[in-house]
Formats: sequence, structure tokens, C-alpha cells
Amino acid sequence: MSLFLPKLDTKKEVDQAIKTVEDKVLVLRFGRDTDSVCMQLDEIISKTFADLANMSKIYLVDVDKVPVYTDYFDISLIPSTVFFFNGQHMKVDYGTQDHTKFIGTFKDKQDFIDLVEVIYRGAMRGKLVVASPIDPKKLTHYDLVYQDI
Amino acid sequence: MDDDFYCHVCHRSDERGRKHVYTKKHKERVNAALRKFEAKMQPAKQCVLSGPTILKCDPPEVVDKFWCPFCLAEVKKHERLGQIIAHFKSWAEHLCSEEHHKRVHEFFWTNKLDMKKRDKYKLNQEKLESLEDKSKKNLDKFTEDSLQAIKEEASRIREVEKRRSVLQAGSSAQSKPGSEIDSFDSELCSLEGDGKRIPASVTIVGGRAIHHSNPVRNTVNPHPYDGSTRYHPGREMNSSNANIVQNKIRHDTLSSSTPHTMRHDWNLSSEERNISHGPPPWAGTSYKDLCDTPGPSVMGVTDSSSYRPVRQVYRTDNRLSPESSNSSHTNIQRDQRASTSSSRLSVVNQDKASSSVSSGPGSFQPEIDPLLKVKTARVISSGGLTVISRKKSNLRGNVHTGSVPPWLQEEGGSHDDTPTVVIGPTAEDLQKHLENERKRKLNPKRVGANFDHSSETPDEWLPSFGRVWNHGPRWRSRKQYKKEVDGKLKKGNR
Repeated sequence: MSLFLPKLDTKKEVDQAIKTVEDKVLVLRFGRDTDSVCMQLDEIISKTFADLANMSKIYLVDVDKVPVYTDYFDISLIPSTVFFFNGQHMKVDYGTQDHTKFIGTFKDKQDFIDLVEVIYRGAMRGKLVVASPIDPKKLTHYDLVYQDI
Repeated sequence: MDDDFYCHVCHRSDERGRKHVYTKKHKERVNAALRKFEAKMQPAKQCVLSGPTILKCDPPEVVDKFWCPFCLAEVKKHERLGQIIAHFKSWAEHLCSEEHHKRVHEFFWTNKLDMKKRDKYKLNQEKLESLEDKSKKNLDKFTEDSLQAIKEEASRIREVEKRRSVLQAGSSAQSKPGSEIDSFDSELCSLEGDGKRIPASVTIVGGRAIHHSNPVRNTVNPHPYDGSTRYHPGREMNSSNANIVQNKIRHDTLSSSTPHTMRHDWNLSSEERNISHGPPPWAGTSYKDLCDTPGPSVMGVTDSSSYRPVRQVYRTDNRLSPESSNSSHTNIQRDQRASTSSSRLSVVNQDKASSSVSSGPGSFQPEIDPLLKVKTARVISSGGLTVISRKKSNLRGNVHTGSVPPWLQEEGGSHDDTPTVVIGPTAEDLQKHLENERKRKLNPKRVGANFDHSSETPDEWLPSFGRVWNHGPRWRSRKQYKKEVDGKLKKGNR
């Protein structure tokens, strides 16, 4: 599954991906290949990869390999999925605390497809913040304590 | 009964019967019809006043009849006497006729119009007689005038004829077979009166001699063997648009000495012509002869009935296949023996073979291929255009000889140029262009529309990431992050 999905190993590669993907949603999954939840997410990604090929580009990023981005994106739970569009970060309101990334996995493929599509549509219309179509009950409930707010 | 009512003005039947004439629409139509009719009255009145004008031929009109709404009939406009037409005579006659008057009266009565205005739509009957007289007078005058014109024309032609005969009589003693062309040429040279001495070209197409001012262009190629232009009987010109000069004319000029009438399209005044030389080649032939007897001497000429100012191309077709060229050469040999060679025409084919052959008439050297040497030697007359001088670089041959074109030739000099000069857009450019086209169709307000994808970023670049803020722009997150990083480093250093 995750064997066949494209991966980014260095900061440069991630930069490259962010900068060069044009007019498509850039999906960066931050996690580890060996983690079980990440594996579930990878499964879903691999199944929907072809369907979303016109709308998005999906990459897997290992959190251990790019600590800069792990810090910058403030990733503390994996898998975390960050969305970009034309070099711009897309925020999505999932009904949770963190709008900057999607934490956890999806219950089914359709959720993921819907989410990517909603982000794509919003971005095409010029919106930087989009409302998530996924039912909050299906999402992983987590709790984080933030510092310096 | 009322169903039978049909109004010819409105072109419809009306169930109301006679009450139809009181309707608004009908009245409008009647007025319109009367107005139109008044317009038609005009030429008739003119005709009656001063008599019908006599015309030589049909006037340019689509229909030669007028519709009379009173009589409900088409009436011819003009009266025809053979070819001649009396303009609007029949129409005027109709308007004077009693029948028409009656109908006008009826029309006014049925349509409840003002009876006093009837006179506008008819002409007096007395005028009929006067019309006849006047028309006769006009006709007589017309015939007189035309006769006069014919007489004048005839006298003019006779004059020209006389001059010609004088000329021919005067110069018939001097004319030689060989100098035919000299005289021809000089005649042509002198005939153009604008001081440039551009020889006018003469073309004989379909039996009519055309003298016009288009000069002979470069491609005049004379006979390859003696450098003179000859009219070759029985030689078919293979090049398209070849205008073939008739040999018959030449022979005629030699044989006949009596002048014939000749119709010209040009003005040859005797002052312009150099009378000391021989007459032009066509002088001995009559125009009629040329027209009526195309004969076997006209070879391959399209019979055109219009005067086409075509340039004369004295061209011997050099593109013949070797076999046919051989046969034509033998033909030429035969002709050559028949004629003497001195020619003053200065267009010379730089055909080395020809020069060698001309030196020895009758000898034929098959080794030197005459095809290699076809090119323009000199320009006699440029016709006002700029003449280009070309240096002798005819080594490789040219279009006429069918050599390899320069763009297909392998040259040593091309290696100096840049190796592959791409002309036009490359495949990448095309792809880029297509991409741009696609992007133009996207929403310009989309996120990151003006994001520069191709700019170089340093290693420390971080994307715009909106951290978990409640307020503040996203670039703050970057700054914040950098601050944190620096803070950590400093802490680490400490």
C-alpha cells in the first residue's frame, strides 16, 4: 500500500512539492509507515489515489525525516494530513480544535474523496478556509493543550 | 353575387362587395397606384412634347412593358423599327387612345375618386397626331446622323489606307527576306513614342495582330542556332502561354505588295514611323485574311476572340526530351538553311552550343548539353522596372535546366552556422502554451493564482502555514516559528 505511494524524504523535496504542484490540492500525510493508523490511512489513500489524480497530488512524508516541517506544522499526533493549494495552506474546519491539519484517519474512502473535493472547490473559488463535509462523529476525537495562546 | 367582387387594385375579393371601395386600405392602395402611375406619365409626356428619342439599341431595362392599372393590361413601352427603338412611343400612344380614356373614367367612377383629376392620367387625343409627326422627324434625323457618321468613318479609313499604300510602294524595293526582322524590330522600336525606345511587342493570337505597349521581357530566347528569331512553321510550342508568331505572315509580307485595309486598335501615325525601313510584317496581310484564314500555319494558338495584351515570348522550348530535341534541332537545321542569319535582335541566348553551331551552320554537336546553359543574357527593355544585374554564377544550373535546388544541396558552408536553428516553437513551448491556455480558463480568484511556481527559494524557505491561531495573518506563523527556532538555538547554545 504505502509501498506504491509517492514519498518525500527531505525538506527540499517537500518544498519542491509545495511549490511545483499547480492548481491541484497537495495532500501531505505526515506519519510513519509502520504506524497502524497511518497504515489505515495509507490504505484509503492508495484506493482513492487514481480517482483523485485530477484534483490532487498526494505524498507521504515521514515525520522523522523532516523535523523542520514537523515543528513548523506543529505535528504531535500522527497521521496528520496537511493540505496545500498553489503553495497556499488550506485550513479546513472539521469541528475540532485544529483547523490547520487533519488528524487521524478516515472511516471510508468517500469521506476522504469528499474532503479533497471540498478543498479543491473552495480553493478554486479563492477560499482559504473551507468547511469539512465529514460528520464530526466519524473523526478522531483528540485533545490538545496549546501553549502561548 | 357579392362573392364575385374582386378588386384589381387590392388584388383580393371582398365579401362586402362594392362597399370594399370605401375601406381605408383600398383607398390607400388606390392612391399608391395613382402615384406610381404619375411617375409613368412623365416619360410619356416628354415623348409627346419633343417626340420620342431614337435609340440604336435596347435600353438597359428588365421589362419592356408598363402595367396600366386602368386598362388592366401590360402595354409595351417602346416602338421598335428593326434595330432602332422609338423610346416610349407605344406607351404614349396608349395613353392617348380612346380606350384608355374610357377606362380611366370608369376607374374614377367605381373607386369614387375626384373626377376632375382624371386628366392627369391621360393624354389628349390630338397629341397622338403630333406624336406621329414628331417621331417621324426624329427618326429621319437619326438616320441622317448615322449615315453621316458612317461616311466620316469610311473616309478616315480610306485615308489611312492611302498612306499605307504609299509606304509600301515606297519601300517594297528595299525589302529583303533577311531584313524582315530588322525592319520589324525597328518598326517596333520606333513606334513607342515615349522616348524610351522600348520596342513594343506584337502578338498574334488567334489570327489577330495586337500591337500594344507591353515590352518584351527577359525570357525571349531566339533560335538557338543562329541567334535570330525565326518563325517556325509546324513547330509546336510546348510551354504554356506560348504565343506563336505566324510564319504565314512573314511569307505574306514577302509575297504581297498590294496594301490591304487593316483595322487597328492602336494609333499608328505616319510621323511616328520610321518610313525608311521596311513595313511591319503585318502590313502585307489584311486583317481579314488573318481572321478568316487561320490555316495550318497557326499552330497551337488558342482562338481567342478578345484582344488580350499578351507578351510575346520568343521562346524555343529548351525543355524538350533528348529525342524530341534532336528532331527539333534537325527541323531547325532545315529552316536555317532556308534563311540567312543576320539579326539585330540583341537577346542572345548564352548558349555556347548555339554559338558553336551558328558558326558552322548545319553542324550539330551532341556532346554539349544546351540545357545547361539556359539563362537570361540581357534585358532589352525593362518596362519601367528595375533591372537586376547578376554575376556569372551559373555553374550549378537553374530552374530552367532542372537542377537540384539550393535548399536541397549539401554545402560545406552550412557547417559554420549554428547547428540546429529551431524555427518556430519547440515541443516544450507548445506544452507551455497549452498549459497557459488551460490556466487562463481557471478562476483567476482561486487560491494562489498568482503564486510563482518557478521562483528559486532558499533552503530556509517555509510555506505559508497558518498555525493554530485565533487571529493574525499567516505570515506571522512563519515569523513566530523562526523566532522559536532561534530561541531554541540560543537556548541550546547557552
